[in-house]
Amino acid sequence: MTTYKISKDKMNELLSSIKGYDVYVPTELGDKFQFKVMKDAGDAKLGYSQSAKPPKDVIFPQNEVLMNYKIQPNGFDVDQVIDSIGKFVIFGIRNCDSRALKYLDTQMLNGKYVDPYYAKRRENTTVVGLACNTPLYNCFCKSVGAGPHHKEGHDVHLTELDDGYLVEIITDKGKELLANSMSLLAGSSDADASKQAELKQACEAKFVRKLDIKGNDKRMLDIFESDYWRDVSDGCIGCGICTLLCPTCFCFDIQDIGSRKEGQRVRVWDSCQYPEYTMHASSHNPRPGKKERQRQRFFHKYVYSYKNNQMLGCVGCGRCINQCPTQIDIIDVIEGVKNVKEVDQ
Amino acid sequence: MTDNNENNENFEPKIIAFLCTWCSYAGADLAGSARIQYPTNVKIIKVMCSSRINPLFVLRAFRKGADGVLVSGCHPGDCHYLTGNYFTRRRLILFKKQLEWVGIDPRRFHMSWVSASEGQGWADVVNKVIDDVKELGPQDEMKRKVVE
Amino acid sequence: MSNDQLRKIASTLLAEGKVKYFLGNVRGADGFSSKPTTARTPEEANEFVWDPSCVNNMASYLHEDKKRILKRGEEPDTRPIGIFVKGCDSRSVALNIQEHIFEREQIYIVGATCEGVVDVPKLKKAWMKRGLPVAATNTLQLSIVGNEVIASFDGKQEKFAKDDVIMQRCKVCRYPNPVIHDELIGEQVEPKPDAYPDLEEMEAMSPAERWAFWTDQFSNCVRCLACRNVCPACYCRECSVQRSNPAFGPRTTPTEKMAKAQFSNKTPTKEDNFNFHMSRMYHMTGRCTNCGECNRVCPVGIPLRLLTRKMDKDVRETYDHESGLDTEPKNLLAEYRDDDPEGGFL
Repeated sequence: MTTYKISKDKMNELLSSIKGYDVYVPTELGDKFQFKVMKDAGDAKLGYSQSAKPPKDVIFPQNEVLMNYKIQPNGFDVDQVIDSIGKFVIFGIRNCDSRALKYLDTQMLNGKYVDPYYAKRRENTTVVGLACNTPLYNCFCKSVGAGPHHKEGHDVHLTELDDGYLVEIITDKGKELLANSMSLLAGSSDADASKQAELKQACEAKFVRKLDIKGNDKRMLDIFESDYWRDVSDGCIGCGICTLLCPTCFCFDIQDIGSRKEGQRVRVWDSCQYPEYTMHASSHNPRPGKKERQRQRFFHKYVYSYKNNQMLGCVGCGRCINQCPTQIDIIDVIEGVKNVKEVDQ
Repeated sequence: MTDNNENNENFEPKIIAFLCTWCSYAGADLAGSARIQYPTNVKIIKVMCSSRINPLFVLRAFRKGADGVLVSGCHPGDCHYLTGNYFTRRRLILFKKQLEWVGIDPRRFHMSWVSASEGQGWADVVNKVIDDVKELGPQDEMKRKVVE
Repeated sequence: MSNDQLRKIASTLLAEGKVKYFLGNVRGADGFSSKPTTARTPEEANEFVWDPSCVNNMASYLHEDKKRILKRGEEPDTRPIGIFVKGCDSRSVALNIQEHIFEREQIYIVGATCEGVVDVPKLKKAWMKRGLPVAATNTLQLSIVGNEVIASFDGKQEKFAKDDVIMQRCKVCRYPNPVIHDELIGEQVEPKPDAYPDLEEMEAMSPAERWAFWTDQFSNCVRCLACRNVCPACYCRECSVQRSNPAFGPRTTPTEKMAKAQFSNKTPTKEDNFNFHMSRMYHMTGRCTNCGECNRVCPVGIPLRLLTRKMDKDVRETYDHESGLDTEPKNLLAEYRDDDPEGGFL
């Protein structure tokens, strides 16, 4: 790992010097932020707090064409879109979101069946992380294994200092990305490193909300049938905001769009919060109400994921809390598990 | 919105017309048997009554690539089902306003009353609609495109 | 505004068993917002709050009752549902009664007159800007006095200008007093003048500009369907924009195709989102009660209220119709007059 430094006014130059990639940068969207392909280096708002939509859609897009098909008189044409997937950079991703990518890897790349579309995109993506100096009120990444200054999963790691950015090139991918722009980088001093450590400590002290997850998974399994889940989901309106905006949610639906003669097979995000998600062909629905659907969300993130992958399905970004129209608060819900009296028979 | 007149020279618009079977369709039929000439750009879909037209049908026609949509029924008071077209009238007038509000040119979507005896009236309506749509050029805004 | 009055009414109703449950708001975890909840016991009802943070329209939760599937052998509870409403919410309840989703006696309405509710994100921002302590929100109490929103905590008071932190929808509210109610909390409030200042900017635009504006907005839509789900007028069991089985095979008959016709695909592309929002808007024509919840819940900030307000204006100007003002059955698109305007017909 090599450490460099770049002054703030040269950052735009660095961004424009990246060639051959689609560079996703945080841009402004009303009073929120969103990752978009950079058209002009001035669009990039690296001082952003958190994007409204997680940047997982670079690697796992909301609409992903799997193939185009066309029926010909003598057979049919299938256009495999996978070959035309380009190269991407996610520039300025926060550690919560990059940890979420690591979680998605356990779902899409581990085991016997690898998702080829995801694998290709993941392979082609370079992750440039940006340390977080001002956590939002509902951030709790520290409680669930990530952290504002963590570097795992990053190819290049940036830290914003007073007079510039500290650039740490961690992997070969990162080296390749910045090969053209080495002239913009200057060496870093020990003072910068100590400043970075200082920022790290300062940031970690700023967290307001905390979550103690110890032993919660067993406890949650004990109260699976409890009315507690009904009470916490009373306010739920059954929209998919918490899942669609979650950086670790990966459920999808496959839709054939077009006619019998030609069309597309598209992968679209789906959400476990919709009744259609679990509807059987017999019209029986094993998760008929919002109680069951919300419970599934909490259990998937805090029990099943941990059991299957030894990794929590929640990275503590706080988006579901910030964006929930009815203030369902995952920290409160998981903390509240401890206070539930009754236990399943 | 396309204002490219060069393209429009040879542009043959696709118009979807929803006609009620008792008046407007019979009117179009009369125009045919009376050998009244009118352009062939209109694709007619016959429905039992103009109040069968869900405004979403109109959206769906646009979505499938229609350049213009026409809905036609009996004159108010003449409905075969007595009151059907009164409901159509309320629906479509409001729907047209909504289309305008999101920025669709109102000339894309037309409504008319044509009775069974108005063969010439039908031809006039069709000419008017085609003139309007030709002026606007091909419709591309609402058309469903392939996912990228 | 009076927490105590609401708590007393609700807990008495529950204690006497006059309602099966009561829909109201409690304080949310962040201290600023309120959280919609269902109280099933008098103790739960004693947590209720009624202050300017109660943005939620509780009428949307009424539909849960219709959608719940009874267990085998379970007798339906025929007691009324208790609900807490503000002026705008009361219209939504009235609409549900107008459309025979509920009968009047199935709902016990506790209405409150309302001076406006705060836009919680805006208030939070103003709060942070002034550098006020976050922890203080545990004891936060909000009230509206004159032109100021007063937040009191720990014996201190902080004042915000009402226009800065209040919801946009409350600035043009014509129904601050519940139109139907069984019990009423608070003094009558003066309604705002009948005008549409929020539409002026958009009306001045050319069609091309409007199209550019809306496509830009719709392209951000993630189709979370929060606008649909929060809407008190959306109560279908199956939604025409969300089908579980849309596939067409070679043997699908025309009848089946018609029953399954898809007006927008599940893919949130620009054109599909346009279709979805147009369908939604059209379904609300003459039914929307202008509570503005769709606008509030949108996670990407699409100004959906510009659509519904325009619709409201059209409907009122053309047909002099307004939904949800009383419980008499009345529906714009299921009625007609001989002398309805003819504008726009060739």
